[in-house]
Amino acid sequence: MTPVLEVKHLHIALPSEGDRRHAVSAVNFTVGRGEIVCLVGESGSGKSVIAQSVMGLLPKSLPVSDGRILLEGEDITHAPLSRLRELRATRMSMIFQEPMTALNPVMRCGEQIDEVLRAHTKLSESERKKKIIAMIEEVSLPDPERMFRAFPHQLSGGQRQRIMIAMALVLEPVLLIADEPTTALDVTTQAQILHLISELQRKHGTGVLFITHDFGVVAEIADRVAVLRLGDLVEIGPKDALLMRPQHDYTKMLIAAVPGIHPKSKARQADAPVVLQVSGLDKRYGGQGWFNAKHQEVHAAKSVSFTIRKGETLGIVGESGSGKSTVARCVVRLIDPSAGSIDLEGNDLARLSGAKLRALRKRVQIVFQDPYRSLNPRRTVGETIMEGPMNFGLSREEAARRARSLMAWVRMDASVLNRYPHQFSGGQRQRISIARALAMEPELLIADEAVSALDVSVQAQVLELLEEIRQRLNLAMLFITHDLRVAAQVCDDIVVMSKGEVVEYGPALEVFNAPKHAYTKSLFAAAPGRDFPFHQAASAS
Amino acid sequence: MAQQDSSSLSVEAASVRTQQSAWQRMRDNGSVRFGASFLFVLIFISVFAPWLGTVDPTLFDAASRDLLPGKTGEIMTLEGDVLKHQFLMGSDSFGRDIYSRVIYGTQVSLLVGLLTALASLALGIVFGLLSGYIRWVDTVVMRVMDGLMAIPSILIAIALVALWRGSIATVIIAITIPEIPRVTRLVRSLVLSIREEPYVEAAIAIGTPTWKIMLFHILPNTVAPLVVQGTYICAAAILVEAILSFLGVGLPPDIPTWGNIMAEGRPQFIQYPHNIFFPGIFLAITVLAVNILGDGLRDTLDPKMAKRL
Amino acid sequence: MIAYISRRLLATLPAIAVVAVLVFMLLRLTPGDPAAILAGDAASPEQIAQIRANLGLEEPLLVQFGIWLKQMAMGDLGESFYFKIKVIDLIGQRLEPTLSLAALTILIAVMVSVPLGVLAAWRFGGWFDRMLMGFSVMGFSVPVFVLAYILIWLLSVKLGWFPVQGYKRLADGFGPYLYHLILPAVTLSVIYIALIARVTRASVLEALGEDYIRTARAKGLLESQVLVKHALANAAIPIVTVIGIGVALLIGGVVVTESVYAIPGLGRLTVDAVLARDFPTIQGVILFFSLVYVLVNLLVDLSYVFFDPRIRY
Repeated sequence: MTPVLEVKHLHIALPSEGDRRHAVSAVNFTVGRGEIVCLVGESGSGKSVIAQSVMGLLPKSLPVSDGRILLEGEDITHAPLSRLRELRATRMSMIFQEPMTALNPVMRCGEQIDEVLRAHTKLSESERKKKIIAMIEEVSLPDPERMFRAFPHQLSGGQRQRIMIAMALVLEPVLLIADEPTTALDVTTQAQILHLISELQRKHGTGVLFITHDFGVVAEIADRVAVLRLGDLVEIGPKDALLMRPQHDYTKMLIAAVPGIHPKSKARQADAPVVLQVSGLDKRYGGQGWFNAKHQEVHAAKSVSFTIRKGETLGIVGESGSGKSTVARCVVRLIDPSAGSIDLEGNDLARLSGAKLRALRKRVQIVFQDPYRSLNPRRTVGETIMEGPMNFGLSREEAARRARSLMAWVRMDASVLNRYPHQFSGGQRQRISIARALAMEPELLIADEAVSALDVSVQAQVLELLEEIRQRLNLAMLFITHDLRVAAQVCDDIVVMSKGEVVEYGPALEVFNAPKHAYTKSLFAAAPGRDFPFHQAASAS
Repeated sequence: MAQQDSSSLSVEAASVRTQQSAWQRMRDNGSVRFGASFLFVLIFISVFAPWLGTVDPTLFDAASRDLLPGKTGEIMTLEGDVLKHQFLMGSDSFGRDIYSRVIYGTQVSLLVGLLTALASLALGIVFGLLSGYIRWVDTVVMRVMDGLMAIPSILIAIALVALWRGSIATVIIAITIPEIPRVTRLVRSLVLSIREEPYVEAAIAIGTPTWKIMLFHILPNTVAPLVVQGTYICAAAILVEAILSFLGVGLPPDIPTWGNIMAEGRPQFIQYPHNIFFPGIFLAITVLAVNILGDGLRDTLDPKMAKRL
Repeated sequence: MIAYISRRLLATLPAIAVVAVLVFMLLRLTPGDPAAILAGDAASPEQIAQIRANLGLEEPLLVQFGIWLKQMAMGDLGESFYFKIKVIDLIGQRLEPTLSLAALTILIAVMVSVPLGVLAAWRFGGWFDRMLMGFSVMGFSVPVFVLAYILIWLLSVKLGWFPVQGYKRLADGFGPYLYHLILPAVTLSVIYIALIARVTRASVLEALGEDYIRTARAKGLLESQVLVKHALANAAIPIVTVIGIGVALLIGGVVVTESVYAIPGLGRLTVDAVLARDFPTIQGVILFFSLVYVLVNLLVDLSYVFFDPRIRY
């Protein structure tokens, strides 16, 4: 049987000023009927470029310089735009990563799906509407009539992605290209969408090319997997074979870098002194001003309490809107809590202000999520690290000395201190942020989704670094994350938050292996690839 | 299992980012080169005006009235001597040399343009910083600025000059005042957005006092958009001064400005258009060059603003 | 949505208040006796004393403001000593030419600039785009009156296609009315076109970079559909906004254009009043223009309701 998609010896060139000549080189793979093929890779691997090239959506600056793309046997590599338009949505469809921005905000959802039908069929208005309503029901959206008339901003992220899927599948194409469709969604929503995609795919026999960077997702839904690195296809094979017995070094490295979802037991000091004790922390927003109805008040954190001891890591796990970031920012006093106490070795941070607060700031430090915005682009990296200690009385020479020794700690060369942030990669910038935090010699280090924006391999390095630092300095750490695997790897205790409340709190081993609260259970049930024995695979090879 | 040294395989190690510095980009940009060189020419002209074949622009000679461009005639100096002089751009209805007046007019235009830009930037930065940081200042200042912006700027300028009598100082003040709200708004919105950036939060977390944050973190990141804005203000100021003078409500007629020259040429425009065209062309090209410089600076220094305007 | 409309309406109040205060302060900032200034150079001491009593100049400043505000609200803008009639009547007389000129200018400008901007954004970087940007910079840079003189010299003096100056009232016939308005409107519209075309291009360009455009193309829609129903529909708000803000430029341009083309409108009135130091008229005109500007921008803000469903729901 002709495969739905064949990509043969594909080369896509990059504009000449770049440091690479090709975005994609010599890539070969096929997608068969009813098969899900995952393209896995880190940033710069070219997976998105390949996906867009199939649809013909690449800009002129990224031309296909060699190779062929065949859709159901037809060569569409250099097909004219008119032919591509005919094929789009009818034979091949694509869904994208950001459901928030992938839909036209000023057009109703039903009308956006209708556009597909009007462009490619000759159905009457009532026939079209019937088909659309049926499709909306098929993607498990309640109240299809309301969804039809709704505007995108009235829907949640998960609902919008379902509308996208409806739009993509309404004309039953043979190929669906999904470019990281669940990356921007919460874990529980992600699980639902993955489930929906595989269900629809099975029902209609659609071939799916699924782009992702998350091996958990690969383990969950793939039939076959292709691994990409910097435009090269390094390995391809059936899922089980590739994940359990990877052949190429790069694949082995990637899979080894995936944290297991089961925490290992670690030695703990039972009587370590308490560094941070949070009791009844509460934060409310809004509710004032003219024309602001009272119900617009947001209760971001409700009565949160936990304890962190010296040398321990506490993880706060939750989805977006759970309040975990709010808690972190209250502890580091970037925002003021509405109520509650934050006891740092005897001082209540929540009550202090002014000079007294500033004096205590050095004891609690934070590393942020976005490496590209965490460093002032107009200051050298050295200046950034030295700023903190100099605020507290160190002279320039002393601060410079400390900065140099810290660079060794974060495994970077001290000579780069006079460079600017734009000269570093994401992972390197995170290390610099860590060095900045450590320059203050804090008792408590907060990592607010500090590895979420990094590639898997870089993430593994940074996590390893943090662990090393924590051990050497016997630091207490507060680790905020939405990624359960990372939490399992790093944390001693876990707090699970949902909608501002703590729903579960206990040692990681207990919470992961025997969750008590319904929400925690659903969270774990939703983690993609949770049943896949990644760590056994890693140790076997 | 020995873990492979992931750093060598890591994708990050493979790509090294090279970036031209801002200076290089500026030097390479065609618009910047054109605008900047033109500006230098203007500065040269205004500094070396007395040596560019001009006479004192206030000199006039009734015998040389309304000469067409290129004609020679005579002109009487203050001491009473009579010189032979070629009127490259013709003469006006008083017998004054238009070429000399246009050349000297460059001084006024540049002065007004640059001083207005500097003054409005300085005041706008102060108001904008304060508004961005102190809430009650923000409410008060922004209301006043909104009201100020509601009155079309040329009307404010006209009214102020009408009230205070024209002189270079009052014209500069009159043109500066309507420009302040826009700069304030720009600085304020920059301050508000930069404050949200994680690196500013990090600075707070490491104990940096507010004034240092303003000086070392916020201000340096506003320089680029402000330089661009300042260039546009300079161009607008030169234009407004010309309009005011043209309408007769700007600088007094004895100071040669391009607008004044054109104002005097109005009654005989149809017979003697050179009174209006020469200063008009100088004016247009000057403002054009400054605007092009601004566009070039914007493209190299602040690409985000390029999307907005 | 009701909340949005009420918020917008209320937001104009502080602006109007500040305008009122500024205009009020304008007179009192001048060196000299306000009453004498208002009365004019040819006034007698009794007239000055009368004005002083009317304005309550002996009273504290706040009371004066109250008196002034009441007079303004009731339409009593004072009397022009130069034209010898009430300011409000004077404004009424001069309204038609200015409104006509402004309306025609806005019409021409919007109809020309929006399509040009969309086209430039679509063919970003191409020859059309570069030409439009070049034209736009020139449009900003060439002063309105210089352009006016160039056009007059070329089209009226040399070619004789249009009248050099003057204005014909609508009541005297639509043909002559339009004929006299075309050249001034075209002159004035150039700067407006430059501004709107630029902003249209920029906001359509920004919209074209958004994800939903990629989705629209992935659905197999025609480029024209993508441009209009997806890009332009989302770019509408900044474009409409700049049309509103550009009215300020228009007002400034009107002042100059009416001077050059000898149109007896409010712009000319402003200049004449300033030259004659006819303060009541100056005050009246500034107040009028500012209120119009606030009103126009209020209408623009309210129009967002149609363009952005996020406000409606």
